Amino acid sequence: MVAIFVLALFLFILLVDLIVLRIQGKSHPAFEPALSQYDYPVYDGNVIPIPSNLFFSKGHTWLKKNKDGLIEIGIDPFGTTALGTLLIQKCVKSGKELKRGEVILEGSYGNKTVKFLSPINGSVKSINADVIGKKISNPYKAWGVRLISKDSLENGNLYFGGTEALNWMKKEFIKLKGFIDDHSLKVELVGETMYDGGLLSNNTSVLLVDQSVNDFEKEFLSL
Amino acid sequence: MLNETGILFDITLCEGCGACYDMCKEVNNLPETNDDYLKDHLSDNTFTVVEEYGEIYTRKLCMHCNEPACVSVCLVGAIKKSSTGAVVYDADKCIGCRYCMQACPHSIPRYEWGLTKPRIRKCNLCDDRVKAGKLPGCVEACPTEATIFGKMDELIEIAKKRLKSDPDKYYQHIYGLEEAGGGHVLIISPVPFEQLGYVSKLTNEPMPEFTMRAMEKIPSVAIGGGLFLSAMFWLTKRKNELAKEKKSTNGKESI
Amino acid sequence: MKINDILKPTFWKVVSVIIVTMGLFSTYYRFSRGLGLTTNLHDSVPWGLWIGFDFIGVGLAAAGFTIAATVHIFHIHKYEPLVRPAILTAFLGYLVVVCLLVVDLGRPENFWHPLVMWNIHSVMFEITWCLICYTTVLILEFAPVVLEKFKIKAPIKYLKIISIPVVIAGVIFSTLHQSSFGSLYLIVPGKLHPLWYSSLLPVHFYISCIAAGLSMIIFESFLIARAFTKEDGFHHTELKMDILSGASFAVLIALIAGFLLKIYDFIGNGKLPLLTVPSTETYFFYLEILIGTLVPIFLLSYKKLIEDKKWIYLTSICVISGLILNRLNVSITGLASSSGVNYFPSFDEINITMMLVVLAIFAFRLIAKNFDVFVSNESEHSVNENGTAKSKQIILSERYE
Ligand code: SF4
Ligand code: SF4
Repeated sequence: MVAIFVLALFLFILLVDLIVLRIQGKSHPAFEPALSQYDYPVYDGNVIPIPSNLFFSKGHTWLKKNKDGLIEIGIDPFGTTALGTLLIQKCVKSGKELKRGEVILEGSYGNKTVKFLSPINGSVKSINADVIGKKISNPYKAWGVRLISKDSLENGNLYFGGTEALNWMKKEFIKLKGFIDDHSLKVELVGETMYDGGLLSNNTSVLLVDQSVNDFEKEFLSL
Repeated sequence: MLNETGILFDITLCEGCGACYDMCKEVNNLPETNDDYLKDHLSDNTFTVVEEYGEIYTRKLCMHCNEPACVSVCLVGAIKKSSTGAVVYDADKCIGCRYCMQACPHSIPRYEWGLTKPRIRKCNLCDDRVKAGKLPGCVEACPTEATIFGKMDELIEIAKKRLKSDPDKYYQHIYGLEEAGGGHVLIISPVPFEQLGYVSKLTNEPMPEFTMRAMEKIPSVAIGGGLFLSAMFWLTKRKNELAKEKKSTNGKESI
Repeated sequence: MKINDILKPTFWKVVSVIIVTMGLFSTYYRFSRGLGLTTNLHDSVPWGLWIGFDFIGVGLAAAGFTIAATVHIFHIHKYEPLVRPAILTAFLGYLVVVCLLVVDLGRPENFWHPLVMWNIHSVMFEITWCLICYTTVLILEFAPVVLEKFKIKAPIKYLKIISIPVVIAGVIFSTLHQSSFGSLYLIVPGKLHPLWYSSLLPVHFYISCIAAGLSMIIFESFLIARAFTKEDGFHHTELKMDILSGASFAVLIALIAGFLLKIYDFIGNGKLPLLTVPSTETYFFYLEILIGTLVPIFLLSYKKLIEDKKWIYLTSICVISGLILNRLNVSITGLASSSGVNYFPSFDEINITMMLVVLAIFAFRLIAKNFDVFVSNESEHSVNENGTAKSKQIILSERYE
């Protein structure tokens, strides 16, 4: 009897914990969708390269500290392909004192504009005019802004790198799939998307509505 | 063993008068626990009981084993064998783990559950009285000489003689002579012992033997395990180093 | 963490506070009124829930020595990230066990007696000493983490020198006392139900503790990933699947070994007919074997499942449940019919046990917050990892152009 009682208590507590998590809207690590269930080529580390000298912010920008102390900032592969091909439209002005959380770059998927936020405080030294309005083939080459900052990139709460970044990126793609399903955005996305596993679908029309762009910024581009 | 003393209890002579029960309480300063001594059971305030099985009366008490389980398991040595052969308890040492209660094959030791400084309680064969040259309380009180006291070898002789001289009256077995390695309380009876509530089916091996067989292996496990682990440590380390060396030379070649 | 955050009530915080408060009351009653009034123990059932729970606690804390041996003696560095959590778990597990033992002792004020009064024939004596020595070993193994934090460098050097002998000693002490918990019952062949009584009891205990200890650390990895999130400021707490799969494979091997030993024991001692006797014991035995051995063996032998975190999690729960059933079957169910009483723990017994478990979890969280309990394997072998990462990057950027 005692054995059954202790066992039942143990299992009961586990069950209650699952229910508590469900109410909080979180999922238990054992039961959140396994990565292998979404076996798209994009999740392969070979397709989303995560260079080891780069840091990533939650707003889908990457940061790189150059030897001269300047920090380069660009849009990561998720940002450049999430809802179609991203074209960068605007950069902040050179010389501006930028605060973390202010808009640093504006881009568009088709005719819908999205804003990327600055992951860091600093003063803008130069911007890369070459990237504006062009299709980005290598996100890590296409830096948008160079700035000088006193903040440290080693802050693990704000910036991540290595495997941690890769895992986070994979999760973002899984989240994106859910997002696209929820907003019933069909495959007629703009241009080249990662969602299809990097398949090219040219000249498709834009089905994004304003609401979904707002949600997208809230879900994926906020810091 | 030769000078050790014990008691022999002859069930055929017991009339169930309860004199031993009363005397035991008196000698050990135990409070009364039941109006009817025949309905009482062993407890922290009752070290021996008289039980009624139809016409037959029996006694239950600690068997004062030759190699007692309770002595062998007590981690602080609070239960010891006295020079008289009695198994005695020292409350000052006891930490109250109750392993002795768990281990005793006859389930004899009782505990003072109600107290905040509890002791193990059981018959101690009136060790102090015996050492002072007196008889154990129950033996002194018994009017029919059902319980007698003496040297162990003499008691065994008497018991064997009685079984032989009257094979119809006695069930041919001396309980307590070999059970669990034997002890200092011998019992002879007219009927098989399991009918009288005695624990039958006990091995003749002393209980501590069962543990000893496992405990014996400890030194070899400790030493063997130590050697094995050290060897493994060295071997796997060497293996890793070799692997590393190989890698680094390979690396050079490819560059 | 700010005071407000600490005070913010969450479901589990409220539950824990309730359990601990009730537990404190029960502890007070137990010490002021004695065992008889507060527990359901009595002369026929001298050992109850507390002792049974000690067996469970010690069995589940076994990962402390298996993981330490894997990494430091067998040099399988993949499991490095598990070492610190495992040692901490073992240490806290033993602390719970020792506290429960003290609560259970009739004369807790005499708890130090085994240090000076020796009876080397007693299994209990051996266990006590192994517990003391092994707890010391665990402290030595965990000390560097604490010293690092306070930047006391000098002793770390000496600890490094003695670290290997310490690990070896830890493995031996663990082996001895884990199996000795089984030896405790060797002296009651007449009392313990033959389904569980066996001269191989110590070996059974040892093998099952290896499987369950590893399962516990797997289970705990999930708990850690669930409770110590990034938002709370923890790092390296995410699940590392290759490690978990590897550990699950070790669990599988230990389970199979344990099962074969059981079969050998049953056939060798002619106990097979017992399996067909309809009785409570038989049903409990079947339940134990089914949940704790057969189901996990079945699940883990599928390659697909052993790589799926959901199934790894579920099997670890199965193995832990099996250990709970087994230890309580040996210590309570198996002795019930010979004692002739049906024991069920009292309210106070349950309270105190739950309180100690909650306190241990709380202590784990506190320590994990303040010391580097979770480390990634990269940080320890950084040279290697960076090298490969870089070369990969070159190939990839080519693809992008
Ligand atoms: S009968 Fe029990 S209490 Fe008495 S000596 Fe033997 S083992 Fe000890
Ligand atoms: S309860 Fe006391 S006498 Fe009995 S084994 Fe424990 S310490 Fe020894």
